[in-house]
Amino acid sequence: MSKLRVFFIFSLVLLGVLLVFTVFRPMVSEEKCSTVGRESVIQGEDEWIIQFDIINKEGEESSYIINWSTGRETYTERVSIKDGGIFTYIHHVYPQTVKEGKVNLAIYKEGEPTPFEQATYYIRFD
Amino acid sequence: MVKMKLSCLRIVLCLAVVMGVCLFPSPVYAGATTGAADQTAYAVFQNNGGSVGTQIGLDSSPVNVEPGQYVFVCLQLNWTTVMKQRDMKGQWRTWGGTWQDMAAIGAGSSTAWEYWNSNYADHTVDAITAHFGDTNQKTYTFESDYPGYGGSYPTTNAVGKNESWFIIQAPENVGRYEIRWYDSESPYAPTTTVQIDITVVDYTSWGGIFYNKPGDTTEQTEAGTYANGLYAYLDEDNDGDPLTPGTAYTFYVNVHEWQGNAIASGGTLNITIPKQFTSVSLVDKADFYDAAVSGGGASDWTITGTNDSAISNAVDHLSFSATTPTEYFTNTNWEFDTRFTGTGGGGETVRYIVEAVVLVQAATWESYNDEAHTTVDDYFSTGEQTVYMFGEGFQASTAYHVAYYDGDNAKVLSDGVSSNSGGDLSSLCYFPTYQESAVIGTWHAVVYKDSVASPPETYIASDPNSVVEDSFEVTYEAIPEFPTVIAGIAVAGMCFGIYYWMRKRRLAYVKA
Repeated sequence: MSKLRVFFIFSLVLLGVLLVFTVFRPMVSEEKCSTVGRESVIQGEDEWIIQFDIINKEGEESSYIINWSTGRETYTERVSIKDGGIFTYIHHVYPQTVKEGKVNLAIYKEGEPTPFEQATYYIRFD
Repeated sequence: MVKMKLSCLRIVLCLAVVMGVCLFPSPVYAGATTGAADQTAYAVFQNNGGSVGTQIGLDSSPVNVEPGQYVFVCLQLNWTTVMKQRDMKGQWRTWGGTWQDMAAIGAGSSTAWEYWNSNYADHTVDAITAHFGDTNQKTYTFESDYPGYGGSYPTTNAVGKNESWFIIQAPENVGRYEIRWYDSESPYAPTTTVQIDITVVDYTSWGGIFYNKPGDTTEQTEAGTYANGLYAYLDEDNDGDPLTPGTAYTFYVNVHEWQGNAIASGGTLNITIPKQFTSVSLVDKADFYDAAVSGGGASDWTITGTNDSAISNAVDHLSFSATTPTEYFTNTNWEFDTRFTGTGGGGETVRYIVEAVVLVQAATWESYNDEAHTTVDDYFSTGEQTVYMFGEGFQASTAYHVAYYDGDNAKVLSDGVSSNSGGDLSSLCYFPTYQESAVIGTWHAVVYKDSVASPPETYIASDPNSVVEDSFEVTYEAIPEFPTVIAGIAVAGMCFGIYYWMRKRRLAYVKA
């Protein structure tokens, strides 16, 4: 059997497996969790933009609490995300709102005492 | 000697003849003189489609007209002698300036008063009724245009009180003027004893602010509004457009003397400004030495001041700055209640009241399909994967939250963003982020104040806690999904292509 034929058969098998995976998603973990994705920090004109997605993989609709603290102000946002849903949160940070250059973020799943995502951003304005 | 006596006698006789001839009336101007009269009253009227309209101001009182405005002027003249040319000429001058003849209509002068063509059919004698009651010929009217020499005025019955109507056009230049009429024959007569005090005021240049014009009785609940009265106006030409929200404007208040008489010092000026205006401060209070601003916050603003000297043939000014309200999403009128109470020349109480109205443009909040915010779009489909929200008229440099809700009213994005220093607010949402998770249909972009703890988790129509919202349609094409089946076919196609290419190469190699 030639190498070419082996490669062809292997390609077909791989394609079949991928097709099965994409249709039935057997590779998706059954673990139920919430994740933060597409997190980005962008420098704008006289501002910083912090952006991320909350992805709900809990298998059910879940509620989340997002807490922001900049030293000068705090803000709380509540959101309910259906299973498999994505919620995008964007926070614009301006020089006048930041004290000591720190922005604290904590994301809680409602009913849980500890955040499943926590971060501190050190912001500097030139 | 005898010859000498005869010569003297001839000289005396010649002188006697000359003197005698001179004693007889001229055969050419036998007894004629220029007309003489006293001007006893006047009234000015608006032009209503070519006919006499509403009277401007009061009888024999100063009036205000607009630049280029056509007005009807009715004079009541008490003629003591017959006019010579039986026609009259008009003159004008800026206040205290030099008299000039009125220009003929069509002269095209923006600076001179002009006669309007009075030969329209609807300006015939019958179209004009007597205005003043105390006339010898109440129904007599007379039109004059320039040059209109020779015979329009009656040859008889011209002595006594008559009404004469003129149609004139104001110049474009604003200012205070005097106008008068006289017999066209030189030397001019009559010498007018009362001249018309007429001020050209550019109302339209005061943008969204309106005020009681002299003679307007609609707001005279406490006292009459007089031609020499109280005026509130704006500092710039807005062409009648509403004012921009969230913008500081300078407003002026002028107190004129009262019916030509001085107003004593010690009068009180009160201006009430709605609390929705912000940053109210005095700009010029030189004529009101103790003027001060109070209020604000939960209360309306108040400016109170006292004129420190008599107002005599002059105007006292006060100006203040105020920032127009924001976050009103319909054009909104705001009233500045402006009142002055003083003491007139005869010890009488003078009360002026002006309900100045400021029209402020509505704030905006719209969805666009381009980053430059040039094309408003409420339907997002193929090639339109981002909605760019933009609005004007928000509070300047203020924190907001823009919440986006999908077709299932679920919150998919919250953007914590501040308006800029000009009160503009912008935000965007990229639809493909929500492939397989968001629902197409009617989406909503709702603006909440930062003080609101959190935009609600699901969309609330006309949420009283929101500032403003806008809706738009998001179609399937705006959230392009690359289906797995298509992906599989693409992968298979690529595999086949690679296999076919490699096989072709191998066969070519074997044949060689």
